Amino acid sequence: MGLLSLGTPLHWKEAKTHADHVRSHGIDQFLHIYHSQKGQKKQCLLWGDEVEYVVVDVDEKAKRTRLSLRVFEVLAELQVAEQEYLEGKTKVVPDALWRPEYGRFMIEGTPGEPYGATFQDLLTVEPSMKLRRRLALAAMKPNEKPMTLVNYPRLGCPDELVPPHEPNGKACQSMFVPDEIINPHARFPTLTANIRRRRGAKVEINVPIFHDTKTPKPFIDPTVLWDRTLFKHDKEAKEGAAKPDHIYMDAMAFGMGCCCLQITFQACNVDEARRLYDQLAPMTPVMLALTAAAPIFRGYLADVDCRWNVIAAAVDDRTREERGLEPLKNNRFVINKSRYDSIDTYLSTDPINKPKYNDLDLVYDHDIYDKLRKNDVDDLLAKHVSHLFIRDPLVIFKELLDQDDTKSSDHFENLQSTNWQTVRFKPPPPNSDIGWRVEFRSMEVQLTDFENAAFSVFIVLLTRVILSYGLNLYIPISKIDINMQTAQKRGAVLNEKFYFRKNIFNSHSDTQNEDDDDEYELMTVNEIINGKENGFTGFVPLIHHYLESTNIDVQTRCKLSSYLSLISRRASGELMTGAAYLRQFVMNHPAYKHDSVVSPEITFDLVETVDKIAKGELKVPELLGNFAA
Amino acid sequence: MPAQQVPHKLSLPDLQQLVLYTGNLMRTSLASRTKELNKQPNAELVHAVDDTLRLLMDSPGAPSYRYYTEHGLLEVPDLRQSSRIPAEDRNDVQVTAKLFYLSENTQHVYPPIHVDAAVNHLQKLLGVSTIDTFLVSFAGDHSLKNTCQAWSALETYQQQGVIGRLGVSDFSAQNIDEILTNKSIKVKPSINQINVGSCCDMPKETIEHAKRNGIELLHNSDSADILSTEELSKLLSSRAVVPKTTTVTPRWVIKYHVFVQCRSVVADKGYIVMGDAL
Repeated sequence: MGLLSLGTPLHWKEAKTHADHVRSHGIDQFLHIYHSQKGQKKQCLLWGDEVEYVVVDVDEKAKRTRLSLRVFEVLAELQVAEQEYLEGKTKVVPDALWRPEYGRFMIEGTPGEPYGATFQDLLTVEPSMKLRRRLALAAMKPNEKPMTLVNYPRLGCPDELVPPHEPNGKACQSMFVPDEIINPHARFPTLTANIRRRRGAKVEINVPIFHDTKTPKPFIDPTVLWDRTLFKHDKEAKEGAAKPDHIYMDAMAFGMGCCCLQITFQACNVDEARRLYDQLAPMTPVMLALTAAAPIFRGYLADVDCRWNVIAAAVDDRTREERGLEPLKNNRFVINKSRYDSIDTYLSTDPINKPKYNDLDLVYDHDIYDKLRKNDVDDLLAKHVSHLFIRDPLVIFKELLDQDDTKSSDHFENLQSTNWQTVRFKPPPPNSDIGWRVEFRSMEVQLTDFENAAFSVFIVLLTRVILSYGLNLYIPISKIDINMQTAQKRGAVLNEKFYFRKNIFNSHSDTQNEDDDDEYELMTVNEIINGKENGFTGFVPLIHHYLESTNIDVQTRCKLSSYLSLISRRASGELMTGAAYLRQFVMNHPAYKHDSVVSPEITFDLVETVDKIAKGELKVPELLGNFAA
Repeated sequence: MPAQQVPHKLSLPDLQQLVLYTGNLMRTSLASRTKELNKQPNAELVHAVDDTLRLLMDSPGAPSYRYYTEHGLLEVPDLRQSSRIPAEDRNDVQVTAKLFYLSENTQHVYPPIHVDAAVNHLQKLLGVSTIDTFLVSFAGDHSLKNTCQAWSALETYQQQGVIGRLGVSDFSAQNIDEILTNKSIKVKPSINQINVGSCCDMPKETIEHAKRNGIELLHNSDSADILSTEELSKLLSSRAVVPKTTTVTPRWVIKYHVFVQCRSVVADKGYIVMGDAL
């Protein structure tokens, strides 16, 4: 998550005095990169995946699991290969690169080198992921497991950490998680505390609880420390922050401690990057619904299947004024979204990007916009950047305040990397060969490497199909926001419909009326992915058609077909999503009392089962058909 | 041989020969009809030809075809947009062509002039002098005795550098052995296109054999009989290009695609159909 610069991070009181400095130089850095790199042409496709893991400590004898906070020792071992390569001690490129994440119980692994453009490259994804899992396991103690769970189900419950810590830390001030849960690198505790300081309150996360037959109605959570007075923010819970019938969480860790699957790929030039950013945006809610794998939070079954809103609330640094709860006095804008959420504007200069699609009231910094326009940045890109820059930089290192804007992009990246969105438009680093890239960010991590590989490959093939057919997926961007909420509902893949463009082929159509061409309607995920009779073609059939138009070899095609088949069958409901599976596991567990509580006993069995599934030791046809994990 | 630029009229001159280009199918909505396309192996070609003829007959004003009076040749050129590959992009793409000799019109005779025509038309259409991969389908006939002349023509092009790799379609391991061991075949195929259907039954023997002999096994789901006389005649008459009484027999079909290899983007895909009226 973002850059890990070194130095003395500033307390919010001081950091906010440098906000304009960081923003101003950030724009200068962007302008330098933009003008020096906008002429890039013909870059090849290179891409990579990022898989995040939680590290679980398993006590077989006591039948008890906990999150392991030993990640830094594990990482030290995992990073040896990369370090030796960077120091020139070996010419062997590391198999994987490992990074810490927000949680001290999380690690992130990426392939050692980007994948290339060929179909054979797509077949190396699963072996790479499997290798990473083996490497991670080998660097851990015998009773520790790396798991691709979106979240550890009982994060925030008492006695769920090894080593144990009480939730009485000053950075989080949480009722549920201690400061020791945060990655100790200076950036993360500072980010945590500054979000709280800026906001003027703890973050407020409320996930609707799943009301089962024995769940109290209204559900008033007995595990909330209603009467604690350790910190001044403790009273917020009983003053309304903790909503009835919801699972209340009060720390960044609940959001940024979630694991996702992210794909970044390089476009051939800046225009293609902008085009793909726009065309992928309508798919972000669809992919969120398909990969849903987070039905449990803080030991309770939720009425949602996904992490997205939890993370949005977990880093929401908006003040009361910015949230429209008080008139604007100290802040400049009313902002209707957290800095973690879906995108607010399309940015491609394609003629098919009609102004009517940008139908959200965009909040942007007008002075920054004007400066960008004066410096030859077009309207759409200027709005995009000046919208990102309405935010304050949250982590500023004193030593890094003054930079050479032609050599560094730190200040730009400060804002860029703390706007966490469904897709991210990534300019190249200054003075490098790396191209303009797009990151697809909405997917939840899946339980097995087969699934993570299948979804990664699907996204890459989707981009190839968008480019090969010149597809047009535009719908009003406000509809994508609606879709994002729909996607997180329990069982969305089976039960919900999503706004989607009807005619995605950008050819001269049979209708005379342009507005007819631009029509969109509500479709199920099954229709979007698999198509309908005499109607929407469906992305899986379209990908097959694209593959038919290439010189793909038989074996590669068959392997890719198996990935496409998984996606297809998840979309049709023939196979369960991870969320549906985990929910079913809890509800069918003999110790489950139908009161929405996911106890340590249930969690132990859940962890053991998921681990066996990921290792291929347990077959779960309702989740994976007869695909091997 | 002057080409008469004929302004659009309600009726077309009587054709004796036909060359039709479908143009770039990647830029049409043909792929959107995937359910229809899956109904039969040649549905894409049939629909593409129909779309092209529809545009031919519906396009207002400007000449949409060329008629060469000397040979009674009606040429329906690339009606939608140019497929020409700019010279500066030639090295970024791989051009693949597959020539289908059609069975109805051949009594196991595969005239080499079809190879010449196919190469020529493709060079003209794409604005290239070389074709990177050239595959040929001999209407299911794998007997070297019949196909050697056509193969010889391909070899010549390969040796001249006009064609890069040569490939065959739907050959069994045995057929491959025959051609690999035949001493009069100077340029061996390096590709065999096969159809493995739903992937549940991978032909292990064919795969192992291909590996041992350095043959790349590519996937395809084409049928060798990619266009019949009945189909072509019906397409033409239903769009009033020819009267209902005329029969037009397809002699060969070229299926081609242009692939930008470092980005895995299919830039162009289409067909060229050559036929004559009986």
